[in-house]
Amino acid sequence: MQKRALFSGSALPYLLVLPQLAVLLVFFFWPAGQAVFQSMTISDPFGFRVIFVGLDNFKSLLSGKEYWSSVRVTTMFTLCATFLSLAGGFFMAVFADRAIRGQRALKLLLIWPYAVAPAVAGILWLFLFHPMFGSIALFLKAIGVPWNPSLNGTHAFVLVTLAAAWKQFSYNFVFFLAGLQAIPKSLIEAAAIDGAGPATRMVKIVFPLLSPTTFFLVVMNFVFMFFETFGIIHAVTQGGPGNSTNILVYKVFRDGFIGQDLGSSSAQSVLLMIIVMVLTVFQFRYVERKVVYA
Amino acid sequence: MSFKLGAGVLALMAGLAASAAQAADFEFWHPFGGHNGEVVQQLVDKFNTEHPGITVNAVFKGGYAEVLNGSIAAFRAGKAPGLIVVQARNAPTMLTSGAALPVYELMPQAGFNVDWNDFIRPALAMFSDDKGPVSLPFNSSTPILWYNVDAFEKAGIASVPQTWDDMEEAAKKIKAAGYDCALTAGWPHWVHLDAYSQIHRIEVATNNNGMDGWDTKFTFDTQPMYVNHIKRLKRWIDEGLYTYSGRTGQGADAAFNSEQCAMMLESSAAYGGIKAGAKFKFAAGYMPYEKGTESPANSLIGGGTLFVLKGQTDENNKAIATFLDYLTQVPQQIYWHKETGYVPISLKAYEAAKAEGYYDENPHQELAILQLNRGGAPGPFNRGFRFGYASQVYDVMSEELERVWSGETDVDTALSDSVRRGDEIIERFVRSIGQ
Amino acid sequence: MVEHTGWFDRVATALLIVGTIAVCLPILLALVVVSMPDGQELQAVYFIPGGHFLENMARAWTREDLGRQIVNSLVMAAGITVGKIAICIISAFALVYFQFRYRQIIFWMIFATLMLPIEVRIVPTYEVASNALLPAQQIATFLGFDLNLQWSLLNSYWGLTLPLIASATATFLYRQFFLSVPEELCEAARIDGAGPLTFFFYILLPMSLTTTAALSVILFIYGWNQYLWPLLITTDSSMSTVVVGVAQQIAVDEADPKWNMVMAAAIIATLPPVLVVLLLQRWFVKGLVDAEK
Repeated sequence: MQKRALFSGSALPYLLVLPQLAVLLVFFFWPAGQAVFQSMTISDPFGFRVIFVGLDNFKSLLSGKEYWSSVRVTTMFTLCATFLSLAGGFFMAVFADRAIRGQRALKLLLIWPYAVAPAVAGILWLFLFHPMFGSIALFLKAIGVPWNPSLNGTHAFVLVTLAAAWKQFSYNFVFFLAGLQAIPKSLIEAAAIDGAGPATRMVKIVFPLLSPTTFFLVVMNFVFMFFETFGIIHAVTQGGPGNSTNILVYKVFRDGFIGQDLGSSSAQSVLLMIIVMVLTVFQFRYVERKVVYA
Repeated sequence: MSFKLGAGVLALMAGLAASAAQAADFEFWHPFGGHNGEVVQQLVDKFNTEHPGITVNAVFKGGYAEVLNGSIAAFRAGKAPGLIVVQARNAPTMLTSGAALPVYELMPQAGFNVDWNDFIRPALAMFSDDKGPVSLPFNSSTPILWYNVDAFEKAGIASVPQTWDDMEEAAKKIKAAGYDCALTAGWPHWVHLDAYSQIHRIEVATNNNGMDGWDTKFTFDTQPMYVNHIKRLKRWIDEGLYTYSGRTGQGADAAFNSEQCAMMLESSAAYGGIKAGAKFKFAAGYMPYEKGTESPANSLIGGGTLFVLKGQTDENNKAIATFLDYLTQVPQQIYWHKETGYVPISLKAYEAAKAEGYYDENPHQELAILQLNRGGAPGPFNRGFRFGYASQVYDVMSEELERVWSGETDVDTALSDSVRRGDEIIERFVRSIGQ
Repeated sequence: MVEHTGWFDRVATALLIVGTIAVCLPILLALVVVSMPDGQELQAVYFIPGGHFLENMARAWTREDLGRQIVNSLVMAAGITVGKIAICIISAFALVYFQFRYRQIIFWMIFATLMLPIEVRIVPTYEVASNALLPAQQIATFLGFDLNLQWSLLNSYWGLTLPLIASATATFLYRQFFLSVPEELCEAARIDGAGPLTFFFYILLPMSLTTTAALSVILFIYGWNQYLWPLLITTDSSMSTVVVGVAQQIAVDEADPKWNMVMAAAIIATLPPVLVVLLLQRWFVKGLVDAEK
């Protein structure tokens, strides 16, 4: 997408992009280049001996089942948490839109999770769901549900999914509420006069009008779940039990930073960079064409 | 051409500039938060006042992982701290790294004569190479049995369980007395593989558990005693006698302190937390052993140890040596021991605490020391462990065991899988150190 | 009004309240934990306050040097916000309104960095941060110059902010917004003889205020909530941020955390970002949705 009305300037555009390029070169491309180099080596943690191994790190990653299980977990996690978070945000926005009193105060409370750092959010959820001292966990045990996320992979997965969805919930809520409030009341009333019930109005009017907001939120949620939930996983499960919550970003961190295997971890970084670049190209080439800029 | 920007510009860096004027200063990165962090800071403050020419900058970095990996990143960038605390299991990473300045070199160079024979044996063995101790043990602990005395009375258990059979009997009585959880363990891997195999002198990996060569292969999946122990634990879990509470000590401590679990196999250093949190009478006993074991051997050391990183000036190295010497002195050791529950690292400090009558009132504090020093001279299989990429190895083993506990797989498959995956990790490590 | 008298609204209100309680449960529990006496924090499970709330809040405030940490967090979050907005808005302006050589290459270079978080390239980034002139130095050495360039960002506000500015999210949103600005506006400005900078400062910048406000919220919270990066590059505790302070207290391996103190600090740490969201709430949504549409 390029505008027709263009300025021509010889040095100015370069000067304008220079600061960003400089920062990116030093703090993104240089380290990324290092990561590409390290991905083809095995080295001791302190970097004294660096052995070039070609694509061995990639081979052992892609042929082992752990990496693929991490891919699966990441996909499931991103989808489930995004869905939960969007659905929660949407319904609460619908209720808030209909509610008569106390909207402001409740809205304030509902925004709170957004301000909580992921690293801290994990801890808050642990206090609810820790098998030994979590409030809800003890309640579940009392009614006969053998809740134990430190042992049961599904439980752990549910827990981090809930925590991540919670963290992003406020964001979705705020956007949906604004979207709902922007829908002209006359439109709804007209539909009501025509005999459309609440459910019909929701499907026929509200959903279509909210679809740009929803699309934007889906993208933002995906990015958040994929990349920014590191802190939550680190605080709640450290990727376990088994590999049940070991999402890709966390695996990079765990293998490289905690496990000191820089080669394998860098190879994973490189794979992630490739995934991201493919998604970015897809976004610009495919999705953007469908969006009309007024 | 050389210019410096940034650091000096900021007014907030004034502190750094001020300390540059002193004769020697170095950073000491540690993982002690909460009460233990305050104790470390007091030790450091006292040192700084007693040694006007030296400034020790104690920095609390978070957990062990944050300390070690922060140090590695800093070292690669040429900004390493002088002294760090490394988790015992990660000592091998440091031993092979070439980044550590061995204390057997540092101390004599700085004019300090250390009597290594006075140190607690299992600690030194873990942290030495063939020339001597590379690292100075600092916060050492070992797993022991903590139990709820009130629960024992209620369940009618007359004596502290000694063997694993006694444990089963006790656990059943506790269950019958209405407890939901009879037994749990903190750092289960340390308790059930490390300590268990040391106490019974079982080979876990070739090359004498890695102590005599990095190129090891795991063998624990073929050790009948160990396999049976894991099978027994699985049965206990199914019967509700044993409760798994995660890979660290947090869950176990919480369960014990809130009287959910009546027995806990956990670090001797859990003492501080239990003392603060438990509203009941508690006591401790030795780690259990199998019936028929003639003389149970020493258990494994845990906790952390001090490594000196290369790259400091001579003055700073001397200052670090002075600080290390200060830490090993009896008054500091006793203070540390009493405040934190870690064992004193020198026998002199232990004798001094004993002479004071400290253990008459705190018998469980003595237990860990006795357990670490029992069983005579260590044989090939109870000198400790040395595995490369230890964090990864332990993660894999914990993962596989979790699969057993949750019923996802059976004991034999899980153990052979963890041996296979563990071997692969060690192979990568051996390649990385160029062997 | 549509069905506004009936049971429907009352049900909605009831569900809203129930939902709000559910959403706030974790925070509520944290408040209860704060109120517990030392060593009894884990008894908070039943949501019965322990009666030491104010006392513990006050203790946490003095004990952990929170004021200092909050100032650092503020500087860091504000630095990231201002820095990122400044460099991104001008580069988006150049990309949308100028035709120049290498434009396409630069475009892709910038957008390749769109989403990758710093955690996945943390070790090499640390090396650069320890000497930000390292790339220049190595290139110079490669070209045969004997230089000694040093600019360490460790333990400085530069180090806390600059590496986190290196991503293209804000450029992306500004670009989207600029593309939605009617082309006639620019043409009219040109006919009136306005140069690119005049157009930028007098027309485009004021028009971008909502987008800027929205981005400020996102970036401020992004900067405020950073954990791993500030942890790594600050060793001087006077440079530590409040989120690091809290998370560090949790990460202790060798002792159980003092939960009442940790939670008190955690609650305090959320207040500045909540305030920012509240203040800029109106523009927050509008700025982002309009830019995307």
